[in-house]
Amino acid sequence: MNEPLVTVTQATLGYGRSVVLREVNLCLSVGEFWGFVGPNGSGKTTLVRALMGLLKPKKGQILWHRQAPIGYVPQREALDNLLPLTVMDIVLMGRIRRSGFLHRFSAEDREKALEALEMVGIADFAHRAYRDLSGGQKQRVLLARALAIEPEVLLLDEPTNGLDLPTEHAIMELLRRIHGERRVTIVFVTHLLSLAANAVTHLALFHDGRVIVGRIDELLTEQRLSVTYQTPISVSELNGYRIVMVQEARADVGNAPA
Amino acid sequence: MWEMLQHDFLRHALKAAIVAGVSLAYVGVYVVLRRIVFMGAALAQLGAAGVGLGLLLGQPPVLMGTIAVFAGVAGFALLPADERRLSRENLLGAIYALASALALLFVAKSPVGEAHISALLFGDLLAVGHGEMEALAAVCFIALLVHWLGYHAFVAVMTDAIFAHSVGVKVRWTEWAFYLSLGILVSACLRAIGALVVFAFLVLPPLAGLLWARCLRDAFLIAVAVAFLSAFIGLWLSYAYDLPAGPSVVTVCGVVALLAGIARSLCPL
Repeated sequence: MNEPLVTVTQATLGYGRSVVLREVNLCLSVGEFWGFVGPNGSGKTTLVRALMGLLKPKKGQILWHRQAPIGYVPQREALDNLLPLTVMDIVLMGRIRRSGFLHRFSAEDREKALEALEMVGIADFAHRAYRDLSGGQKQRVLLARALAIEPEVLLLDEPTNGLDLPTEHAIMELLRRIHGERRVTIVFVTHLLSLAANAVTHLALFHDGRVIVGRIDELLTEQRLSVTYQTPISVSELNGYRIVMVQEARADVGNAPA
Repeated sequence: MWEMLQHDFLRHALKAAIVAGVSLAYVGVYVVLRRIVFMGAALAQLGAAGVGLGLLLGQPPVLMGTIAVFAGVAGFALLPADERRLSRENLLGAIYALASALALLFVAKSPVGEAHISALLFGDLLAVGHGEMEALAAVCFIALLVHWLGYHAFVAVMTDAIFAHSVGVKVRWTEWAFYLSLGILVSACLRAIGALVVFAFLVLPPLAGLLWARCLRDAFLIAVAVAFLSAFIGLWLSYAYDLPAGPSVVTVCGVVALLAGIARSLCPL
């Protein structure tokens, strides 16, 4: 069993008087690749914020077993296009914690930032304006910013939203590579179960204010998913790629005119 | 052009306009990028309302103006982030309108009367004394020092507050430091250059800078340069053509920003 990093016990989370998630139980361990999957508004981002310490549980607790640097990757829209920042300016933000008094960046900080850019394949863009990049390139910059932290945990909040299919595939490949090479614990938030099903080792399914967690092979069965979502769901494989869909949708595809 | 510098009061006025303009333009880059332009206007008008209340009640106007500005800063920093029912921009617009009206009402009913309205709105650059100039310079220096020391934290929080939190930046403290420095600057500059000029320096030079900047450092440099030139040219026009000083400076600022916008649309990078 891997070393546990953070344990969430019977946590109730929400904002003000409203409760978003109840009785969440979860343990993230070193080197795991988690998919937080659920529809919009189901509480995925709420749990991510709680893991980052931005939100205190109303009940229960979130216990980090030791200090582990967290690399947070938001959706690319989180950064305002009005900001005249270069790619390097943004990636260097990942070095702030290590930049010492007054946050002045050293040559080593710049070297690490460049390494992170090389890791995500856009080192040539270091001095380009962030706002001039494409959606996929922006997402890589935000990933590089998180890697510049030299994180033990990567929290990615819907990083593939709104990307075209090849770019989405490239980002997922990149995440798999980072996970394999750096043994980073990854939490990947998405509303697309099929996307997570082909990358992660563990799943957290968000439904109706509850979170169901487990290993991918335990949870990704037609029976478990149908019970969780209270609708018939099919799980199939095509060329080694898992496809998860509502059965009615599969029937529609089967009946489609030639 | 240089003969205006032979007069002591004009030298003081020029120094005050340049010191206030450069400081406000620098901080204004953040104000424009954070899309809180209305906050500059609302704070300036709150300060004016405080000055008006001071005149009405026979209390020190500058102190009352400063209290009003700090109350505004505290209120804004404490506002909940939930914008589902009321956006911050709407609230700032409402405060701006109310504070402007109150400033005029307070002054109109004060014993010193409407003679102060013009000074309140446009300031009294030509009446800035040596002591006042030194106080203004000291406050601007402190505000800019805070910004120099906290540059990376300010930029990180402005860019992505959640990420800034994840790398150990004290987001709430940084926000407070930003709003307090803005409040200190606005209240100090208000007396010397008036609400209208304060607002103009906070918005127009940064706009010109952001239109042409390829990186954040360039935006600060261009904004500061535009403020410096506008203060100098505006005061010279005021001296040469016997125009009111504050509106002359604002007009030059506006023309420079407009020309920057036109030039930018004609030559896309």
